[in-house]
Amino acid sequence: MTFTADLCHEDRTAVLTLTGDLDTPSAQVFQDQMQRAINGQPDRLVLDLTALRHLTSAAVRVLVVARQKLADEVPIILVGAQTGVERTIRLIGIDRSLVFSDARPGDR
Amino acid sequence: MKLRTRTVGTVAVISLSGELDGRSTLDGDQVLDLIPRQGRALLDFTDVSYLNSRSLRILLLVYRHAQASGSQVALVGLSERLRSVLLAVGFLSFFVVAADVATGVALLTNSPEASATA
Amino acid sequence: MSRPVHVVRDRIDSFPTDEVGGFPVRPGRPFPFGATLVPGGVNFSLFSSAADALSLVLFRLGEREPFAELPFPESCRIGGVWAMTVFGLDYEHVEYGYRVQGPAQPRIGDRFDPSRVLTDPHARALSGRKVWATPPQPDDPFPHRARLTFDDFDWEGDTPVRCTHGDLVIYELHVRGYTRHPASDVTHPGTYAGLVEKIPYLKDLGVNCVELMPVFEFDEFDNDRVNPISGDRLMNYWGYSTLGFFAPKAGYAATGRYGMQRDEFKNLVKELHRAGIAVVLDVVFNHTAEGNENGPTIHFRGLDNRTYYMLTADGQYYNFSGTGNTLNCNHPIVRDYILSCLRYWASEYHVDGFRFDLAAILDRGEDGTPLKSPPLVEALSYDPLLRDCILIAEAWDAGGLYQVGTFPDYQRWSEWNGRYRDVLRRFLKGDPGTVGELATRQVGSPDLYRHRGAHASINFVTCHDGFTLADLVSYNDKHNEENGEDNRDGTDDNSSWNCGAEGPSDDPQVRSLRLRQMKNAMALLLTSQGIPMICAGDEVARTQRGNNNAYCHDGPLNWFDWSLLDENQELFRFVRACLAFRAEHPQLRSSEHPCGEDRDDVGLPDVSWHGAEAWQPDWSAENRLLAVMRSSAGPNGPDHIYLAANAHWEPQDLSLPELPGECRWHRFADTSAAAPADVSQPGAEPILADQHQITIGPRSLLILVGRPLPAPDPTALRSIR
Repeated sequence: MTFTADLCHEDRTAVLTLTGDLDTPSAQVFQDQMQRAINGQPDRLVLDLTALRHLTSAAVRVLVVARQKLADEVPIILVGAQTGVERTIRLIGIDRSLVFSDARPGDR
Repeated sequence: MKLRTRTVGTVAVISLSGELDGRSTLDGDQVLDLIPRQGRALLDFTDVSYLNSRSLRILLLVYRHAQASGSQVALVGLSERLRSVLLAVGFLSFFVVAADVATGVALLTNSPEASATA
Repeated sequence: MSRPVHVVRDRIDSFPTDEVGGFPVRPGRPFPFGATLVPGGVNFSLFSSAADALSLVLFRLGEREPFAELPFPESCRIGGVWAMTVFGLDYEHVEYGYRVQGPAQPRIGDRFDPSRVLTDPHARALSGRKVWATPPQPDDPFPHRARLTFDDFDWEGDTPVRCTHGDLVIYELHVRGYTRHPASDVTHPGTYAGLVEKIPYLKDLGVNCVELMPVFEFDEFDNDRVNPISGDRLMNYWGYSTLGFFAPKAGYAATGRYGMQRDEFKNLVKELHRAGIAVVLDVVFNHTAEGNENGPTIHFRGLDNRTYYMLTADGQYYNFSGTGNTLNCNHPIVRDYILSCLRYWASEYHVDGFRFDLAAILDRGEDGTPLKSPPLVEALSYDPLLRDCILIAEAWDAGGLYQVGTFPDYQRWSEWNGRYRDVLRRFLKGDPGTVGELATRQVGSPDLYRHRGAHASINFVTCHDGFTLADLVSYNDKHNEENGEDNRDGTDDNSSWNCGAEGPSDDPQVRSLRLRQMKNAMALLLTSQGIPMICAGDEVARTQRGNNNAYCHDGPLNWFDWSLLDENQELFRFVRACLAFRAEHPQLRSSEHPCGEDRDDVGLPDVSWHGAEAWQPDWSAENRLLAVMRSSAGPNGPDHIYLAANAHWEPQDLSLPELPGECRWHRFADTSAAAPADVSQPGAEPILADQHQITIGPRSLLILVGRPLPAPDPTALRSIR
């Protein structure tokens, strides 16, 4: 399934919704969208991973760089990460600087 | 402490008894007097449950003195408790220890020194 | 010798001159302090700078009330030293103490209390805790009583181990915890005798020095807390709270109930030495078990409080140790006491060295001010009897004094290198900005010890304080709830990483990563210059379930579970091979820091740094790959070692530096490879098929050795022809 990364801004929150398989070729697409999200200087970055099936370490690198570029006070919130995706992130050890959530902030 | 001696073959078996826990102490002189000069002796501890620190030292001195004057000595009848105390403080390896009187007698009777003087 | 128990009485001063308290006595000899068996009697000697009167209080073994009290006559006093020889004592069955009367006008800081019986600070043996955890008598006014014991012992020619300190590999262990577990399979679990039965294991592993956690008498009941999970009473298990500085703990002896702990401890030292293993004692001179004004009065407080403790101007206890009191180490009397204590253990017990707990306190003056030339440390450094002992400082205290790298060393002292521990942990968990400092630590921390040499650095990743190695890779956070302080105790700064799950995990990837990380830690530690220290049990992945301050638990949480040896053979085998590797490569044990030049004329500099490309290290903050090459003239020809450490979560391709002459790269260890390919036996390393390129796995370590190829066999050539 092809990878897509939709970006939208809601107030001061940047929301990136990812779908499909995030593999090495599509990592570039992810990186570009991530950069656009960061350029908007959001107070909060939400990554909606509900429809994301697979995450490679190339994509993890994009996350790591995003964490470095954003100020410490800007939380990166991962919403709806599937078990396999969450596990990959934990095994690499960057989970400590991210927030996992079941629902998007503001969703009820 | 009570001492009793009997002879088995050419070996003097000296049986000790009593609670040598410090109320009484091993009388080294008495024991030494019973060990035949240039002879063979088994010190039988079957009826001794415990040796205090001072008695252990006296035993070692007696043992070494006897050996220095040409006697051969072995210990038998060490209770589990006594044996384990001797082992824990590193004294066990100083002594020749036999499992029982018969083995001890055989050990002393058949030793090379024994054959030399036989 | 015709009468083996004859007492020699040919001294003109071995007869009584007086009668006191119903016993024949005479003025005694001031030295040595304490109680000494002399012809016909016992010589008692102690000092107090200000006591007006003193009496010897005698008890029969185990009886609550004394059977005699002998005031020291004035004729028995010289200056502040009181010495009396007492004849006719049944010394096997006597326990003793002192009652001390202070000056009529107490000074600020005096806490004399003649209503109490004090124990002898020079007691060679104490009773009261003969068997570990025997419930004490309630309201016992005098629990820790001094006993009279024999000094003599047949050492069979034993001496302290003569070895270069740099060749030591220190193994820190707790005497009781080492063999108390049911799976230990020793005759006397939790004792000195039990430890003797594990000597073959220590030899097999390859350590040559044991550092024993406190063996000076302490009170295991010194803890008021309760385990909130189990309801059990908590104990003082570690023992960092000394009562008897001259007495080995009876509760650690199988023969403690018979008063033979001295012999048993000596036998332990003798057997360890026989196996080529040195003995270092963890000693605690920064505080005592008396605590502050709310603690028990055992000896020093009632004997000479102003002398022994650091006090404020209004007589309150300074607390640089965090435990209530601080020993006044640089006071001349206390200094002598400490010095005589160490001399005693070195000579009487053939101990090879000492590790000083919270040693920064040894640098403080009487008012707590850090001294540049602390007389105590200086005296220890120059003492002739202690000349060959290794002296190790835990160079910090609880009062904010941190002296790693600046402890006054007089060219003698080594230090627990806390910076080594910190950077190694941070590197392993993948923190940025660590490779630069890691490099410095791997070559013996010349930034800290340039003037001393690498042997000043005791390198370690774990010790009794903090997580075990297994927990370092299994827990992000401490879990000390069972200590009864709501998990507030213990450090929060652990630099640990749980590898993806907190605590026990069935996930094979998590477990595999944890094993790899433990191997990485051990391999880095054992190939670093300096003296490595391993925490007992780390070689078999001992866990404390995330408790990083387990000082108070006498149970399986702390006991070495020997069934782990079967479960974790792979890790054990790896650590044992690394220890053998270290023994094979003298350049790793050198005290000289490398300088980057070809000192031994082997064609390569003694140290060089590399990255993914040979000769191009990447010192940037985001880089997590570092390789070092060490080259020297080894005992069997040129010796080249290449170690690459990759803390990145992805593999990397490495281009290898080229070796000169006939040398080729052989692979000693690769922590990303499945056992048995993870490590080789030194000397039997397989040659690399590709001498130029190699891939290092994620979060892995690679160790290569460069050796000349063996010369071709001339007989083989002949047969081809």
